[in-house]
Amino acid sequence: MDDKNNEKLLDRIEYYMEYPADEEKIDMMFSTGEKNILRTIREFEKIRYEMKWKNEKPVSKEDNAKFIEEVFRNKEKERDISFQLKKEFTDWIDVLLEQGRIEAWLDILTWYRLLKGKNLIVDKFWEFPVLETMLKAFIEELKCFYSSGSSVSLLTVHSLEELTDVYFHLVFLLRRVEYELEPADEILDYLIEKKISLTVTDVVLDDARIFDEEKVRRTIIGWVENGNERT
Amino acid sequence: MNEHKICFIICVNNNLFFEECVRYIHRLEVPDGVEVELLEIKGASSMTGGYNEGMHNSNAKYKVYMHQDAFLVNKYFISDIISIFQSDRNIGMIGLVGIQKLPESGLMWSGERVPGVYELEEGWERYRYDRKRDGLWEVEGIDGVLMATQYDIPWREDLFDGWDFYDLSQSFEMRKRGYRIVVPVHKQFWHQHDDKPVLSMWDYDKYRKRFIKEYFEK
Repeated sequence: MDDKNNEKLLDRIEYYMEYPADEEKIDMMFSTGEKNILRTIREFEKIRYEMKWKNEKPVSKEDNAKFIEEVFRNKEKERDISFQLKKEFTDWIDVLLEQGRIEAWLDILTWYRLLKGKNLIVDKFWEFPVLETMLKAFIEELKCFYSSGSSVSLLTVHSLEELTDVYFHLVFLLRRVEYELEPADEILDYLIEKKISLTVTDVVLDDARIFDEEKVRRTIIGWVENGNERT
Repeated sequence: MNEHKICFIICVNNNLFFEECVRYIHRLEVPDGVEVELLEIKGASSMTGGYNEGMHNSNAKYKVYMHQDAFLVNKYFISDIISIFQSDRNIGMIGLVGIQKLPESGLMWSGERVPGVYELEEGWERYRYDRKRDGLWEVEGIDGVLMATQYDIPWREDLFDGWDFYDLSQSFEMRKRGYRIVVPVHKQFWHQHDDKPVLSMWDYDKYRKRFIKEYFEK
């Protein structure tokens, strides 16, 4: 366990990529959950390599039909391993979120970036675009933490399910502001109840399908300022 | 069949989405004399199966089959679609996103979709639709996010027993019977859809091939 803590995750992953056969050291460096993810990534990459994606643009109708067939055939080959990797990654996310620590969130960020960089699964399951937005929100909160000492509100979220729930609640409440569905200011109660910061809200507003972001932003700031004036 | 009734039929597996969807339905302006019904279909084994169940359980002439994660932001939606249906009895189905010419591959996104992107206009007036002024796009198929009908045609759960191609199949079933499929030319998106940018499509090809065999090769 000390070996795992002493080296940053990224350094450990880099070691694994370079020396995958060094099982003894890898065993000391990674937890079971992490090892599962890494092994599945290697397996996935082997499958991709064997498929030998041809990146040729189809020029004729026949070529196009063959191209489409190949795309779907390759997709089918990736199905089982995609679901396996998804489960391993989301299970590990839950373990990390349960810790409620900044370092754990940084680990999630590292894993997510690794998968995204390798073009694995993050565009296949709806949880991951949500996770990406919330990771952006975490980074913004971390900046505020370092600059002004404000708390990182996302540390209070302890599972991926809860994280996606918070995300969609925020999106829906923000959209109600946009379309003036009453009670439009319910979002303020939600933020207080869930202890979620305006920083997180701002990031979600940027990423979500809200057309009139400025209107929503103006409205919420107005409420907050009115609330501050009254107190 | 009750000509003064509209029924929203939604297959549900997520209460958070469904409750939000219903919030927008309740916000819609209801024309005088029109009754609104809402059917929540839970535990459906396929979209076609769920929609057939909903269809058989309502006597509403106008039926709106929609996704649980679609939110109707055009509050005049009900009067708009009823006016379109009543303007021409040959219109069998209305969608909010459609494809004017479906490619031979059956891939909806390969063709030209309507509508495109609109510039934002201020206020609720941006949603006012006028059938004569704004018009309709004729399409071959519509996206399953929302499909409104004025005729009951069985959904092909014999062929499309999953969650793909039910929309194009139903569009082609309507057209086989001589009905038009249209998308209103609208100035601003009438709906918001919180589907995430993912391309899972695990069973997509299986149903794509069935679709091609059923509608292009016969």
